[in-house]
Amino acid sequence: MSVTEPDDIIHQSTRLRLMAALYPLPANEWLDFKQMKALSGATDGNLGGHLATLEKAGYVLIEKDFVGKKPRTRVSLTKEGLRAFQRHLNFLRDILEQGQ
Amino acid sequence: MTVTPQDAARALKEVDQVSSRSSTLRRYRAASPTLILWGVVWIVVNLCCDRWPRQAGPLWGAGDLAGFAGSAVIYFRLASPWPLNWRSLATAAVGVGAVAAAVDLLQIRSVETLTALICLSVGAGYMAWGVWRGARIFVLGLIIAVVSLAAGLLHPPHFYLWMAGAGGGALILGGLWLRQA
Repeated sequence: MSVTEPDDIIHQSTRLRLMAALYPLPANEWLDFKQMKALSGATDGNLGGHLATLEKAGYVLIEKDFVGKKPRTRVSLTKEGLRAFQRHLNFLRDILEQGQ
Repeated sequence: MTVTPQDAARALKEVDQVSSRSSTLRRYRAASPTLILWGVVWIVVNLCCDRWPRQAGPLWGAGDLAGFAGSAVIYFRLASPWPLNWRSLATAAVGVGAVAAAVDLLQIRSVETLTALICLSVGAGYMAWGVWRGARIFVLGLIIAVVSLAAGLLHPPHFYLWMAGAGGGALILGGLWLRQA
């Protein structure tokens, strides 16, 4: 099925990279804040804001806990996020095919 | 929002790059505990071989058994990204068969040379794996291969201590390096 509109939430460059980083992981796997930062190239403040936007849209799940005394923030892709990302990729591929 | 074909191409390229990097890091994290486990096995077995050199065969047999059992536990507990299918098992069998044939063909009778050859083969295996799966795995394989080759060629006075420290140490440090990627 052809997708006619981009997903405005995902299309933003940093959020696209965040979703791309989570995309290859199986359902029960997480990336921590440090890994997300390294993969997306975002700064701390920037990353928090973009993750909050994705969480609000229901695309990612954010879990905060402690490992020993150290706080840890982990992120995983929701089923809804996975579907939205796949739809957005299909949209991009369609645009590319139409342009060729 | 208007998205041009150039925008789409750029976005898809970015997705490919980040997803590929994420997959590589995931493979590194999955390989890390197994490498650390084998590093411990190398150190313990080589230290025991240094103490009881005539028992090197049985000691390595017991060490390999413990290493493979531990690797199986790690594999099934961590939902490893490495597929365990007939192709991966056949690839391992080809490698083991080739080393066994080389040992027979070259008439290797020295336990130290045999140990160095097997460890060299393990290093070469990691290098080949790293060509496909990530530069850090290749570098680790190269270090193990060089350490083993040096031990095999130079026969240092404390061969097993060398293999324990340099070989086992490289595996443990390599495992920690992959975990921090």
